[in-house]
Amino acid sequence: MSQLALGAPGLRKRQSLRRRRGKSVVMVGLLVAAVVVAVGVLAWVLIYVAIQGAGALNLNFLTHNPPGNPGAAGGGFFNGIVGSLIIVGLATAIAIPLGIGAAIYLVEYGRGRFSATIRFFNDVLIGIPTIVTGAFIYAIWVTRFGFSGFAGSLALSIVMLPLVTRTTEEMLRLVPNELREGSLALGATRSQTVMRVCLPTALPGIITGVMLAVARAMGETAPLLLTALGNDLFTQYNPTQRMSTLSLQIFDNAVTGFQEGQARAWAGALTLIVIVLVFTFVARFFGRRVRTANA
Amino acid sequence: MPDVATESAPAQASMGDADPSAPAADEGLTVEKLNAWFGTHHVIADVDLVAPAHRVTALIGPSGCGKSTLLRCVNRMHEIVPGARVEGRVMFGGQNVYDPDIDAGSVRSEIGMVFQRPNPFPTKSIFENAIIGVRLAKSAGARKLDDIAESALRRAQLWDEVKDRLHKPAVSLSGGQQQRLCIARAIAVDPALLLMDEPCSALDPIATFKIEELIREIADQYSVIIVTHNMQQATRVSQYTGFMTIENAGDPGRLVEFGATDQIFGAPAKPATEAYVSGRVG
Repeated sequence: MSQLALGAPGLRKRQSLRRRRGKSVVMVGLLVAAVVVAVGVLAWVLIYVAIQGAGALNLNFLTHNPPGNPGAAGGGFFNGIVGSLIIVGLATAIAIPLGIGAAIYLVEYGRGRFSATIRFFNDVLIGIPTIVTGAFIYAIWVTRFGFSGFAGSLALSIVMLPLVTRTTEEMLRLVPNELREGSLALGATRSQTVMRVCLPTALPGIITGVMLAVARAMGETAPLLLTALGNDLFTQYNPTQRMSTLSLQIFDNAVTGFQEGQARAWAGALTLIVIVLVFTFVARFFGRRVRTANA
Repeated sequence: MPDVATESAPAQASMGDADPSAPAADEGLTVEKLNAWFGTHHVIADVDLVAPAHRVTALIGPSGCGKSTLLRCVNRMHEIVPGARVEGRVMFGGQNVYDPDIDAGSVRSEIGMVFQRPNPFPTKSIFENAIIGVRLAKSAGARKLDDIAESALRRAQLWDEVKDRLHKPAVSLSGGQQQRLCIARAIAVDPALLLMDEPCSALDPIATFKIEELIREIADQYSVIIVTHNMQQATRVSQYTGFMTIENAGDPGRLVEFGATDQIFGAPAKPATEAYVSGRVG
């Protein structure tokens, strides 16, 4: 009871201060542990794939197609790399204008129930399992026109579209309203304001978002099983025909049960990670350059 | 002087010179029976005022009295907020800016605006910021753009500080320099009237001093209407002053008194004005 007399308002007893410090140490410790686990697992995956894949990853792997016999050693995923680049490239070409356009509408023009509804369905679209997307394209496209790389692009563009829309929307919302007003007050129209002020200001973030969507599409396998189907026999550059992709070849080779096939799968996984990393770095670099050149 | 042709007013003489008693009303600005709303909230009521050409007019009054809204009604920036609405007339250059035939963009390129916080475009260079209004609203060749940029930056008294780094990012400038860049950006399109919404409230005293000096300088070429919280500032820069206030919470803001700055601060006619300028209220 005596400490009550001591306690000027706002001054705390030592005891309780020590307890608070103890709590703080525990909480910070938990947070650090969470970071270590999260980053540690990521590093573990990367290092493990690098070690497993480095053995089979060589120039031969990057320039040759898989051997006809999955148990045979050698060969590579050249046609898969070509297929992934073409299919994802087409998917990106479809998803970027649609996604950015939708986001511009939602942020700069859309108001009320209609855009709230669109936003809701966009969020739902993000959550749709990609195998369902593949089945959908199979039903409406493949049953009519057959398996093709383009069908794969359609499926992947549906995977990418909501991601591009969402990130672009968020980045446009971060553009301060003062900049829009500054532009409008100069006599600019709303569309000039969007093109000259809002999009350039949001561009680095939009590029990052697009790259995340590209990375996601690069690794997708499920929607391609029912659309692009795969083609291990030769290199196919024509997206109206069935095509292979890195992700499909990783899957095919990993499940063969032959050590030689699994070695190729690891090398393919490493190739995929490297491609995504290179794209991300190039996009970051490009985004920064656009900013400073403009800036 | 760069040759940025002022958009000639289309034939609408019938709208007429509004108030013959007003000093130079054809070049200045006349606000008639202006009312503004945000949704159902009535922000300003029945404002009539005449801001003479080539003079600085200050709008003073307590926070929330609608000074900024009045300013934003003049160049039709009020209406960009969803649910915002305006009634009344704003006569400028012999035309009502709210005439249904008038394009809001053309109003805004003839009536420039400088905002409370400096808002240069962050992805653009000093040079690009200075000329962006010309690029957006009016066409000009690349050669002319250089001249326009230099002339605008000189008039904004920024040229000497930035002439060696015109292509550096605008956001590399200090706050005061950014605000002068925003003034340069606004005057580059050669508006007849410049609206300033508390242009110094985010700046330190030295930057404020420079801007005030600049306002006095440009007043011979442009008409200026400035909203300010700082009554000393109003006496330093303006020739005319309008005092706005709200009588009771929830009421719309009204223009209580308008007159020569000396008179408003020296011998106000209305008790409310007297109470405000003497520091007893607000």
